[in-house]
Amino acid sequence: MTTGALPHTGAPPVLAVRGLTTRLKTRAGEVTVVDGLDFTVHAGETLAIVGESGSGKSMTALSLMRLLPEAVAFNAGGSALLNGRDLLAVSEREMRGLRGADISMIFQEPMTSLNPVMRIGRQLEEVFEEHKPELSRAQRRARAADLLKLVRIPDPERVLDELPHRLSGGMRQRVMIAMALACDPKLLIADEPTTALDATVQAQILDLLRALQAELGLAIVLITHNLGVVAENAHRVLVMYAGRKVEEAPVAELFAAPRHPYTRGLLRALPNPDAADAGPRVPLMEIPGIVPALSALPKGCAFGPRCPVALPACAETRPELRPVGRGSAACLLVTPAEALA
Amino acid sequence: MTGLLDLWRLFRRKRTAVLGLAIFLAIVAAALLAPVLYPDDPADMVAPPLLWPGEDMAYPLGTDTLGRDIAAGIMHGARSALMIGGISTLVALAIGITVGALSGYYGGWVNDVLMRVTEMFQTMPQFILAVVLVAIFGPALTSIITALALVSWPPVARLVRAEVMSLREREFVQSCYVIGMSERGIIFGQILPNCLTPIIVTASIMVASAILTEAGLSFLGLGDPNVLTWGAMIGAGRESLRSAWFLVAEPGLAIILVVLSLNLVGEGLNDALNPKLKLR
Amino acid sequence: MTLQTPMPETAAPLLEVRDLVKHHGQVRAVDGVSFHIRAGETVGLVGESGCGKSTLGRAIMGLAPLTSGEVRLDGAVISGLPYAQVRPLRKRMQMVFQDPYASLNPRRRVGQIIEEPLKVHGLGSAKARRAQVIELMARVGLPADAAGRFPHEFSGGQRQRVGIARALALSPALIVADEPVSALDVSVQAQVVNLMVRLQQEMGLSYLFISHDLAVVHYIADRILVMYLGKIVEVSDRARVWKQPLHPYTAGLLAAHPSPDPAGAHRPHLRIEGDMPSPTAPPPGCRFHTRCPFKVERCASEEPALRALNDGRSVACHLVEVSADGIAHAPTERTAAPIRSAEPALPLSPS
Repeated sequence: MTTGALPHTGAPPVLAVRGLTTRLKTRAGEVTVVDGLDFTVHAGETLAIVGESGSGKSMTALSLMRLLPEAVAFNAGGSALLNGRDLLAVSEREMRGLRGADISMIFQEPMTSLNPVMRIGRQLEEVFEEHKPELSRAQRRARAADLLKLVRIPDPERVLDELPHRLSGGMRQRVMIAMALACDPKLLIADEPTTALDATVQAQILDLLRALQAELGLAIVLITHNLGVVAENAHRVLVMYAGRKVEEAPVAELFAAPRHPYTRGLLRALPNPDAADAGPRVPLMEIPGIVPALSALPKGCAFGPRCPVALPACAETRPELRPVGRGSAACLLVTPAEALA
Repeated sequence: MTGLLDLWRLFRRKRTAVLGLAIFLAIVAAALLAPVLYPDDPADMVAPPLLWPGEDMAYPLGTDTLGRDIAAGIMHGARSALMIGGISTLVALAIGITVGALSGYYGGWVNDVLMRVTEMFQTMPQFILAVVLVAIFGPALTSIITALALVSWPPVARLVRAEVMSLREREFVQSCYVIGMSERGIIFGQILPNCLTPIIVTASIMVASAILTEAGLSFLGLGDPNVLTWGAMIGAGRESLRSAWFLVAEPGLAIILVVLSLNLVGEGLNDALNPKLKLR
Repeated sequence: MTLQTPMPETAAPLLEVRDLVKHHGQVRAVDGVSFHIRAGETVGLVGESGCGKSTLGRAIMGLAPLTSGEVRLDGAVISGLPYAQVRPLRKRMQMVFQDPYASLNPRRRVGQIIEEPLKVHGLGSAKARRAQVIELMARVGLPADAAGRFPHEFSGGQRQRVGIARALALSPALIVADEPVSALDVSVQAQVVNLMVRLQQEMGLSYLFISHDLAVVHYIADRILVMYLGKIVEVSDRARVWKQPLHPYTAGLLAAHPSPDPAGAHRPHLRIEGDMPSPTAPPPGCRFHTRCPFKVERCASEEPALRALNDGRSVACHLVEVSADGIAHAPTERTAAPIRSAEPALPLSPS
């Protein structure tokens, strides 16, 4: 368990995102998949972006990496300053230089991100060829082996000569992490990095990410749908619903006192074997209905139609984020007074 | 009905597909109108031989070495082309779907036997096989259609086999075993309707290639002498190629148009029926 | 809402699986599994991908022939029968699939999908069937206008309701549910789990609930089977599996479950290292010994049998000891510090 306290509060953030807005072109017209998102991540800090499918969490990651195909999606506003440089404004060429060097990303399915017919060592060396052309061949190979050691792969020399399919899912994800860290990035975006893995292997990979963060002072944006992963790995949490931030808070505060009804619903929808005794089975809290289509969002609060405590006003007014406690929440029912309580 | 309407909306997004469909419909119209516009036998000698196109507006496409009206020949040729292509494809589909479904569904020795037979047909060059078959059965319409069907079913069988093999493992098919549905119900009610898309696409291309093969047979003089076809027209005109090239060019163009249009339609259907591109 | 009272032990089990073995070529997917399910009981089957749990579910349903062993329903052997003889048995046992996108025929309307089982077994007139479809839809919480629509018009959770309604149509006694909520979002997962619990209470169903998620299995199941590499390593119950796991694998599995509850942090921190070995060549001796933090020499050579303990649980581990007072002790309880592997020690938290 991590705590909300951070050693870096005074330093400027590694990444400062303001008003990030991404629109997607669909046959039914354009829809806003990420709507005015603000957040910051500091060195050594993990910010979790949590949400269900369609919440816009993965779109956020792809927008920051500028990996969305131009024919399908475009940036419709906002800035993302990585050490002072706006990721959304730099040229495509500059962005290529930044990707893999200053900002890296790992994905859910490592097998699809690795070239199946190229040896692991070769794929790692390619990253150096791209970003550190001054290294000699032997140096590249030595660096590649060091990287595998860094991600705790036993017998790195042997693994360098393996093809990806010979490795287990967990090992492949370690290789992906090694590739992502090859050029000492400041920021790592991890998009559902353990969703495809088994529970025991997921735990190993998350342990590794925490350890690497402590060693390297990485800033991590952890995108996940799994609240358990959030609780055990993040410092701060940002909850997304229908493309918008609905709540942000330090992790301990979010889990102890969730402010937004959607966050509360998510937490209570999970079975909690730690709290359960052998007694009667209490029904899980349901969030009624389904996530609305982005093309047909209600006028007021997007969560309003599913919200158990919605007021008539919620159908009319779209709630703005307002500070509460040490975070913020976008709900008309959240008042600053509650923060004091 | 909404299904067809959706299909059309997806189909028309591709301009070449719509063009192909227009050409194809024009050819179908020509075939349908042939007995109305040219009620007489197109093999009749009706005018002086070797009239050039445009020379006499009564014979807009000219006449051949025997004074037969080429326009009448083209339109009646469309009839025979579509009929031969259509029927032989239907027969080939019947064989291919049956073999493919049995082989894919039952697997094991059924699959082994049927696939070896399929491979036997596939290893022989299609056209040569057709020539041999017609040579054996004699140049009659039924034997030509039979030959065309016999050379074109193997790809259908392989396609259907692959589809059936993957569909039978799909969860919605497994769920039919779970409710105790009969195997016949599963094959005909669940699996085959879901193979329809690739079958339709393949069929449009098969019609085109059957027409082409038939033209080749007729050109070589292996066509039915009682049926007027484009291939036979080209074969008859080739001797005057230098003096009257239009005798070959006009039926040739007709073949090109029908084959091209069917390919464009097939490609358009493939895109329109592809579930990944469904309308949102 | 209360826990279903299990039937007395004397009643004949609804389903009995004896020494079930299922190999696909070299892959020893299920390698000798025995258990039973009583009427009205929910048995949870938990394990990681590749442990054989889905194969076991499919083998029980007769969707794949067994390599050896037998399955009995109401005391009669149902495995190895020709499909024609299996068909009438489907009225007693049904299945709910994992992927609500794949398990419904995309070309059929929802009403037809739910009616299909009734039609196949010739139950009722067309009119009676339609009425029953409406009732089934209401029972699983689908809107009445759903009958005329196609599966792709529905969300994942609603599609899973369609799958459940189809399974219920024949009023089965047992439903094998293979990862029924794994493909669903958290908020929808709760809806489907609650629905399954409610249906069980209303209709007296038994479930074999297969999942990789120990928390969900713990929530829904009365008894829990933990599977590893084709074998059952522990049989426990809802009251004890989470608080007193016996097999080191069970302990590792629950320690690996990331908990959103701060209370979860106090669970024993037992990390299982490495990956599950390939089921084509399972390790000799105890199949878990290559990853077990407590292993001794004997574990590598001698395969532990699944022992029944006198408290109703069973475990396949040499190191579980039963003291004189009849209490079983997991290896964890006697080991002071969490065991780490030979890999470099990992700091567990950045703070």
